[in-house]
Amino acid sequence: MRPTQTATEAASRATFLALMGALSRPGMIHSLPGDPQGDELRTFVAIGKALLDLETSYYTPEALLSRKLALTGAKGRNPAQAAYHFYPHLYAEDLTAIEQASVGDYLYPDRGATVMIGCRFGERAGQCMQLSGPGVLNQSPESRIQVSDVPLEFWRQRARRIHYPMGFDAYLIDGQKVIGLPRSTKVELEAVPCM
Amino acid sequence: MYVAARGGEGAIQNAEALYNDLKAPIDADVVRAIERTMPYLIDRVMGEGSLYAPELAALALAQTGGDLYEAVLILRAYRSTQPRLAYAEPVTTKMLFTVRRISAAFKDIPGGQVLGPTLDYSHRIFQLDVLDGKAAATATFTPDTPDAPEPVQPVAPREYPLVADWHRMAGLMAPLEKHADQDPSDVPDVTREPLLFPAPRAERLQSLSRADTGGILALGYANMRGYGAVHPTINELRLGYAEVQVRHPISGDLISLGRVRVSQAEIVTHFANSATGVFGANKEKRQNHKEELALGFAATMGWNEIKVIAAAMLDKAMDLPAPHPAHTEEFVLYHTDPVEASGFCIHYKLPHYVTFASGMDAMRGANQIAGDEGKSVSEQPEAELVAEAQE
Amino acid sequence: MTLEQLALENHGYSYAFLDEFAKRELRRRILKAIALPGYQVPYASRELPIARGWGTGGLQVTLSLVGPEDVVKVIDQGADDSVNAANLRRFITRVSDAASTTDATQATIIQSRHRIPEERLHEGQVLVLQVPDPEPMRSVEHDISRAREMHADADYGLLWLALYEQLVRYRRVTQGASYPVMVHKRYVMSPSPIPRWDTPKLHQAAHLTLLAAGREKRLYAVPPYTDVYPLEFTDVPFKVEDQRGWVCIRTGAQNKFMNEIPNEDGTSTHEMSDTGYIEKLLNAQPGDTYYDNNGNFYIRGYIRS
Repeated sequence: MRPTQTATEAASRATFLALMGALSRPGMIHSLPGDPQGDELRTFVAIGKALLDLETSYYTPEALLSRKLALTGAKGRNPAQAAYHFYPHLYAEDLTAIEQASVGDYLYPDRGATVMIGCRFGERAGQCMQLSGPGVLNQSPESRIQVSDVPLEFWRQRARRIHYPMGFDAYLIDGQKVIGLPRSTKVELEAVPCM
Repeated sequence: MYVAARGGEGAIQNAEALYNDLKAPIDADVVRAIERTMPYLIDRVMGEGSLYAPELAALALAQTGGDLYEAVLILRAYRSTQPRLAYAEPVTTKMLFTVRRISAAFKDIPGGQVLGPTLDYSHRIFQLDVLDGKAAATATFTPDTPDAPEPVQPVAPREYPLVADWHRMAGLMAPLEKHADQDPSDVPDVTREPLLFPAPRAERLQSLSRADTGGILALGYANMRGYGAVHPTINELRLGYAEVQVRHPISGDLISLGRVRVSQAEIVTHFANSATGVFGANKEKRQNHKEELALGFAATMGWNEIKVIAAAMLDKAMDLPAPHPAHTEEFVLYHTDPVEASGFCIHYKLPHYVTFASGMDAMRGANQIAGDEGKSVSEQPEAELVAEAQE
Repeated sequence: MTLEQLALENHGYSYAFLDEFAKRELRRRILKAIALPGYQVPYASRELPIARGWGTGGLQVTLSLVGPEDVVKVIDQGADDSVNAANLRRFITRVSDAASTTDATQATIIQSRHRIPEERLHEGQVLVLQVPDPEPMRSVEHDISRAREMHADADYGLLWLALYEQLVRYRRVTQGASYPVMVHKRYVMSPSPIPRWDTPKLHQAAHLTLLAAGREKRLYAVPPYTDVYPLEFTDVPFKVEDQRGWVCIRTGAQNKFMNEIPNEDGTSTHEMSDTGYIEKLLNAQPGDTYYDNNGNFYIRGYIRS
């Protein structure tokens, strides 16, 4: 008898490994598995399948994505109660939802939410940021990232909401690419583009 | 040499083979016989294993040569591999198909005392005839098909009222709080979340339910003997069958998956609110307050009378203020899990030579310092060392 | 996708033993642990077919990570062939079809009890440490609820006091293995009962370390390139085990962590604890090690004594 992985199990594991790699090395781009030609929600659905089930909860402002995530059995909850937030596009009005995202408490900071944000990496118009903290090697190329399609206010909000160890953890997603930003990562906005 | 146990794979396979040589081989008939002849053992293993599967419990016992902790571990480990497909409908005490219910609080109770199957009044003497090859008439007890003695009434009542309901009607016990219908997935669950303290009552009762029978008895007995301020009376002890019902995922109809044996105990104690100090410093509340009976409760899958009685007492005792360890929630629940306690106990058989070496190094170092100064460690005067903490 | 792809023969057990619910829960917790270096994340901790207390925490983490393309190394006390390591390796490979190795640099996942290999691990590798007791403050506070409050307040005064009392009493710190460390300047963490020799290897390491206690239901992490410092006083620096002069009887190597093997005449023989490294020294060119042949740690100035 050979132990056999189903396609679903294999995809879940590969997605999780990409997220784990991304969170361990903030700033470094990791690749999510799946079809790069699929629809734009595909990576969010794949992450949902890897992390969600009837024992956890999610929030997303996108109706179609919400229906797809509901199939995991997870409970759709309001932004304050949801453990996982999904924003395929982060609009300025979504910042009120992120403002309510749980940051945990001092006894259980792990109860802070996880936020998935669709954006673009490496475009000239993007905001350049300097990262530091666990998993970031000083002076390494990945310690500077350039991100577009995220409201600038999000970064100020993130800095304001995170009182380490309390805070939320974020994944930036551009197609199949993912960057992890745990709450332990310090993000400094640079005045000029990275490149 | 102990390190020679580094035989790796060969050694562990041989060790298991030696164990298998120690006992007679098992087959399906042996497993059936264990399941049919030892219902209490099966129930104990299922209760602690928190998996209702009489056949698998019997197989676990057969496979492990009757080592209870090993048998429980096999059931628990198997449980880890089973996905949660649905939540069953709640079962209330009234819905139990009850075969035994007794109350020590009153001579007679509404619905009547039902002695049911028990060894309580048997004479504990051997049926030596069995060894001589004669079948003992009383040795064919099978709980699923009891040899019905002469019935008192032609049909047993479908339900028995609760003794606690009588207390409530008589104003001796606080009425049950009305709970809104709860989403079953929101019920705290110790198999899905770690136990944190103070524990939700659901998790406390779940932990007691799957706790080690011997451990619960030892701590429960400590409470009964005087390490707790709870002076309990068994209000109601029940053995029965519960019907497990789930909603059909498509039609939404209730369907029955079968019946499981369950046992439950309620203990009551007088002056409950004063004993538990629920009013604390609130004098006004205390003055206007009427003394009431308080309930302790426990239930298990399978029939485990001793365990549910001791556990129900612990349930009540854990509410006491400034408790003795024998009834502190954290102490009781953390130290009575059969798998954790037994596993940690036997882990001391594993090699620890790295940690031992590290400790030896520290001890030799300390002796060296003491030797250099011409004194043994125990004679060291308190040195005046000032150290600054650094970040 | 066809029905055939979805349906499998019934093997009785899932891939990597744990069902997908259990794996997802572990994976969610692992991600939180990485976001909070050194913080103990409570998790459900399923029972496994290995006795509780025998590495079931580490095993659950390994099973939630492992895939058929992985190469797994399992060690106990530094040895690949000790019975417990052999048993866990047999189980992991049996349920996952992963390959196994004794070479620390070739493994993708290293599950270990009480040791970190001598050779420097590299980026992308995961070290899974089995933890009997995750609470570094157990000896000064046995109530875990109270200990959690102390972690919340970063109140580590009692631990410092315990170290100070050792100094006063014995003129040196007498803590052996499981030496408490400060992670990312916030949480004091038990590095599991690794010898003090191994403790510095967690600091600014290239690999990810995941630590898990099955019985105590806590898991925690040290991400790559994270600050990990032993608790030490400015004027009483942290010391690793003093094994100067000990020579490995099998390789002649020095300044690697040794087992002391008693002889009948009251003397001792020494042998390196890391059997995978012994093999490499005897048969191949080993990789860079954390300590050089003179016992110098690769990050200069980190060990001050």
